[in-house]
Amino acid sequence: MADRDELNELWCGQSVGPPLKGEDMLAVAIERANRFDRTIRLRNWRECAGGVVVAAIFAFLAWQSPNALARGGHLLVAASGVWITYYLLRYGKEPKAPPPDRNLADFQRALLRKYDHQIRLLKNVKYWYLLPPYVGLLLASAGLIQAHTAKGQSAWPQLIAMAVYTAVFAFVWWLNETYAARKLQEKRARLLQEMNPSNGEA
Amino acid sequence: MVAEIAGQEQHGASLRAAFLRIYEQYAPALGRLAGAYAATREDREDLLQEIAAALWRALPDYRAEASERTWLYRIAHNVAITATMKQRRRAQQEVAPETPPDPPSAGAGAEQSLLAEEKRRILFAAIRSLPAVDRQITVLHLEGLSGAEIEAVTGIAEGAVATRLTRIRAKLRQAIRTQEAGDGR
Repeated sequence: MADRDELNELWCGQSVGPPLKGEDMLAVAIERANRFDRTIRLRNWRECAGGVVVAAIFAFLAWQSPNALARGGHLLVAASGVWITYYLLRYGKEPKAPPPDRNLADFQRALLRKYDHQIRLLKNVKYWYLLPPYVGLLLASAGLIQAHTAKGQSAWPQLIAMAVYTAVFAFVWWLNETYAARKLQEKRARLLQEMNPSNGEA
Repeated sequence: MVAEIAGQEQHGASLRAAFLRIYEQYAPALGRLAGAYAATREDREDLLQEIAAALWRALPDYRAEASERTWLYRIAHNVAITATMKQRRRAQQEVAPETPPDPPSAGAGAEQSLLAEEKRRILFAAIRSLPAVDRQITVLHLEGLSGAEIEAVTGIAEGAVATRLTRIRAKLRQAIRTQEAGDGR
């Protein structure tokens, strides 16, 4: 392995152009590291804020609801906001990015774990993300229909709303479970291909 | 409290000093490594900055269990692999032209220099086309790391590294010969 041949000469003879000076590169490194931390903090904050807003809006609607069924439905949606936020904070975080100072084999395993975790999360989105608020909305709609028909009003606006949010939920389901999960599976396969071109699977 | 802040400042200053020392020492090697992963100058610079950021983040946790060199190469290669996967995805959408690492100087021996530069371009392109594991082994070998050091960086046993290297080196030489034969026609 120690022979210094043409390949070594070509390799070591490469001039890579003027790299950034140490101090400049340090400034860039610190800025990039800080930007990464800011992104994570912002994402966590957005998730919490989203959950709180949904919970507040539907708690208010529950308070305004005309009957127990609608109130129960709205409260369920409000609780779902809190639940989803909790779930995302508790389980939704991807396993921490693998420390880059691991050897290649460990790093690959950690990356694969990260992908598997994300794929599992997306595949289960219907249970922890979609079902609770959807059931709540259905109950609330049923309660509102009941209240409107009792007053002799048309139920059509509620039925149209049901159709619209059902379509939205179905789209979100497809987006997560089919589209996003497939994209991640492709990334995982690319990683495997890069790492184990002869095996294809770890 | 004042002592705590002073201690933090001292710690920060020593991290900065360590970063600068490591970077100054390994900048040329990291530049070559970037060339083995990214074809365009823009991507290489971006990759170098990513590696520098990862180095800065990892520095406080460095415990000297591994040698500084193997520790740095682990970080650099792992960052490069993940960054390359992103760049490859981007490259599938927009085909970026390859930028030569550096223009050869003109003057006496310019022809020799051009020839060497062309071979170098072929070598780097061939290395970039290798699977990640082989690419990593190749770069480490060409940077002069021993079999044991390569094992420490990759986690692949020294014997397996030697076997792979024999195959890879033959492949790289073949790539250069094929290109030379093509140009000579």
